[in-house]
Amino acid sequence: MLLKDDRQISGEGAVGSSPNAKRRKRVSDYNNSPVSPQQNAEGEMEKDLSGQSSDVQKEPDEKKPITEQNPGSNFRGKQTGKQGKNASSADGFKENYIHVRARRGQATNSHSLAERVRREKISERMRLLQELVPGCNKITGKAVMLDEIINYVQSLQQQVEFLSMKLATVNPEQNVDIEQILSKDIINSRSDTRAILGFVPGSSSSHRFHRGTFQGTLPSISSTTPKYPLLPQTVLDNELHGLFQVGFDSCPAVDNLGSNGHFKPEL
Amino acid sequence: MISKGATWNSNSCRIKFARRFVSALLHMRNRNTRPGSLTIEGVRTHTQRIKIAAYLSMAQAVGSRRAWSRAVLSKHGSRARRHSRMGRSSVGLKKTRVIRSYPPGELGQAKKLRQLVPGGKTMDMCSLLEETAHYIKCLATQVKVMQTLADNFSK
Repeated sequence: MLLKDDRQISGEGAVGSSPNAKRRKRVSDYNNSPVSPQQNAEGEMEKDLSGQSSDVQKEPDEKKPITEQNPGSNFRGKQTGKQGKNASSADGFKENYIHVRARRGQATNSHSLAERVRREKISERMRLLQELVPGCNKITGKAVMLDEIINYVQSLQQQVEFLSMKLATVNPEQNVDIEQILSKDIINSRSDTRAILGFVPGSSSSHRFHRGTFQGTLPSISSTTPKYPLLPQTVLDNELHGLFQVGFDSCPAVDNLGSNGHFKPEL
Repeated sequence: MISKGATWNSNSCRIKFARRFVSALLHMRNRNTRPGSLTIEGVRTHTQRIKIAAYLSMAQAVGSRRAWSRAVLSKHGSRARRHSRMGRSSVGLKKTRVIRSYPPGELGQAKKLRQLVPGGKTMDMCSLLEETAHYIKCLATQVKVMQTLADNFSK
């Protein structure tokens, strides 16, 4: 009976990793926490993925070194060592136990695979997002990353609102040449998002300010955003550096506008 | 990591958006005979219209390739509804999919993200993240274009 308990305990650690009702019902009295559930789960998962019930017999042998590592259960490790030899001989006795494990592996095989694939996909997308959102290279962890993403999207939307307000209040110049502006625009706005990040604190504070006292801020829109006129400078500086590298990229685009020869002297 | 293909795509996205947005602005300006340009409400309405025009022109520049752009187009544009022949009619989808149990494990943050990204309410986590990535990219270009426009107009 003692042997059986040890076997159960050695396999018990895997319970925490997957919710299988059958596995939980098997456990009777269980005080000790023999192994870290992750290690067991790893071993279990490997076995699940690699083979079916034929590999099950190897499982106790594999679990043996894992249980021995645990400081709290040294003598149990020795006991499982004994069991390892007995495993093959006492197959019939432990048949029902192994059967449960196999069934568990089979039942959750597709589940675990699908979950693992899903998790892989999600982590891959999170990595993509990490590259998109500036300043998130050092962040590891989904929760913090999601917070950053949410903040970034909110700040972008706030910027859109602020800029649309600015565009609404500006006086239209009748002599604007659309093509010229577009060409300047496309070349100029190729900067990195660092410029935008510098803009954000100014925008959020002044935006709140605008909502409160709109009449008073109409003349002072330019004054409350001191960073704002600075941005084109940084944009142009970055632009000049990046222009020579990506000039050949923008050429096909600029050719469409027909102002290929113009932008360089303008800058 | 940024290959030529990526810059070309973003550039064409930017050009399309810039063109549409500027033409929409001019159209709005011609339509607005500027009586209420100095009242608060007038400016606010104008701001709202400009904002909607910005999002709409961005979604039109993207086309119907993305779920979020389809959501924006179906929400705002009547012209787009006639054009979009994609099988997704979001109205029908919404009726059948409103009662949806959010997948556990992400809790409040995924909910917030769904509210932020257009059309995110009926998406699973995986596609939500993908749409968010594309949406962030397009939003960034939108902000850049609008910024330079505002600069040029206010000089």
